Amino acid sequence: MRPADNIKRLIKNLSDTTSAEMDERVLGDVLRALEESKKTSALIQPNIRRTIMKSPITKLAAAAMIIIVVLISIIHYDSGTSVAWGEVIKNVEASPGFIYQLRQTYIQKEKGANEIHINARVYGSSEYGIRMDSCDPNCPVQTYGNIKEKTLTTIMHSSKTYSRTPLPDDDLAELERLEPREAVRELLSGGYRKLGRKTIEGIEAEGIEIDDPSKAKANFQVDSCVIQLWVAVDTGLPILIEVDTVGKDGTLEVHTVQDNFQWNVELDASEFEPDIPEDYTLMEVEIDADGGASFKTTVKYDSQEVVGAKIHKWRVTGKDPESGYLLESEDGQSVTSIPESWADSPEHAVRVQEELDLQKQQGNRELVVVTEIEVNGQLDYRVLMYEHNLLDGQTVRISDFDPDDTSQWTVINERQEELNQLLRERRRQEEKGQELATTEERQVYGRVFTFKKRRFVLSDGTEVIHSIGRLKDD
Amino acid sequence: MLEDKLLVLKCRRGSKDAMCRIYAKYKDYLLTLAKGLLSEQAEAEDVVHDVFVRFARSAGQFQLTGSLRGYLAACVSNLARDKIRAKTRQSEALDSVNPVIPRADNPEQCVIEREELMRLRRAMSQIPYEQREAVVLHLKGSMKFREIAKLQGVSVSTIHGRYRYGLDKLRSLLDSKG
Repeated sequence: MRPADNIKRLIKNLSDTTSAEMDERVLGDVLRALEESKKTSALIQPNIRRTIMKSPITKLAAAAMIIIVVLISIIHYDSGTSVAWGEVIKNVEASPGFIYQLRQTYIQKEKGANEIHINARVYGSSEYGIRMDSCDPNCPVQTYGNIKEKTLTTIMHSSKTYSRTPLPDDDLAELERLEPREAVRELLSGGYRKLGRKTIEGIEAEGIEIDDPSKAKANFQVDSCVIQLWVAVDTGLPILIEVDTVGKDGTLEVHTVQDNFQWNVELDASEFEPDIPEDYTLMEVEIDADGGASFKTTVKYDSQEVVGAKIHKWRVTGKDPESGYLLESEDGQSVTSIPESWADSPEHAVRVQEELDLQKQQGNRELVVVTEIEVNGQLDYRVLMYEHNLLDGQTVRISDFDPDDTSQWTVINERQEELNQLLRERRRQEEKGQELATTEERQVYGRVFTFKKRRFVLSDGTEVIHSIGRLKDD
Repeated sequence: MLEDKLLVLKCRRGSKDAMCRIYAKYKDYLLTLAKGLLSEQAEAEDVVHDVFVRFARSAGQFQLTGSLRGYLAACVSNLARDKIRAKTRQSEALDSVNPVIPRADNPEQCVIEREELMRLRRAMSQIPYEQREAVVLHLKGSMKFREIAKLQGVSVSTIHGRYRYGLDKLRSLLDSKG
């Protein structure tokens, strides 16, 4: 019988080398992919993120409600169709509460285009305010806009957290503009055209269309905005509203549909009072002087979870013994990994990654270690290590490059191995009691770090200074 | 390890040099793994191609928390498994590319080893994929049973069993055709 050791030896001896043809083919594709990655990940995704991030839940909801009353107000003055338009506004005003389904799709129309889908059930009352429940089972989030208390409350069930912030004046004003007469005065100047009749879901309806960018309730530059309102002939109440908004020189499209309306619904005040379980944690919300940033934390969760949107949704694709859970973004453009010591399940790994994304975007992490290499007196590279405090109580550290670093990173190639060897040797000497490093204190991004500096001369004569800076009081 | 972390960070900044170095550093290792798992040269090359392209696409977001070598090996294993599953019937065909001849000072020994490797590849293509994966990842990929078990989502004893059965089957195949 052939000894097993011989087979093992044979397998260990297996050795394949890539051909020059394969190298050329693969490297060509790899470098093109890298180039695309630079364009898409660095530019496009943050753009759409920022766009959505600046779209607080109140704006979405309030704008949606305003559209209804505005359009109804406009048609109040029209009497040329078979719909009793004059009665529509009265019908809506007479409705104590209403419910509808809100679906929105954001489409970034550039290379690496991605789509964000929002699906929520909206409950509205002119007396109490508004409530939105995400319909995405992966993002069970509820948001309450309370007109009387002037507060916005967001409950994130997946992380057992909630936030409560004052409603900024702008958003509060939009909610208060649910009063139709105010809207009529503002918007009567806009023209519209009649769309005639059609049957929608078995209901005979008549519609109008308004094409006016100034009517868009958007937080980005709007090039065009087309709104269609369809009203049931028999009830005189809206059954469908569609809004198509194009902005940013045609690179961003937002399609909004409101349907499945229920009018004349008796909604109790308790429907608009947040029911927060006792074991949920209150999240801190920072209020900046800058109005745009005042919703920082809340907006973060708005965009990520509140209305069912996942800006950068991750899924677990497998496990690696060393890297842990392997994650891939839903659009297939990104992969990353979360060590098993950070997450005890695939779902947990996804939550951790999303939280890391959010904290990075917010700047809600602490710089704790700075590593620098100087080559012949010039900064060659700088790597920053950040500490993240996660909602599950753990603290993790992640390295990242310095966004302001324009250094060359030359040592990383051929000379890195030699530098590593010298570093290892130097550390061994230091462990034996030799003090070969110097120290200095220096500020980095406003915090004082104590740097331990080690000087080396490589075999080619290059002088390298390796510095590791830790927070002075760490 | 440190070099890999720095290379990954540099890739995140879009460095082509760093990406080329990662490719040069791991291409042969990954191709050998892929070839061991898939037998067919073209498929193995496709897997290595896809692994690097996916890695490059995600370079801007990638965070290395373990070893890059282990991560890339896991990607090869996953893609190879996908290819195997996609096949309606596992091909037993050997590709036309000969294995690389191992170094041997003695020309006669060289010929013998070349013949042995060709027969080994033929035998490996005939054992169940799960067993082949355990054998290749352990012996060629230098992965521990525990690591392979985590990768495949099964117990360590299962992997150990697959490994033993795989080796026994290989030995049997090589003996019967020897």
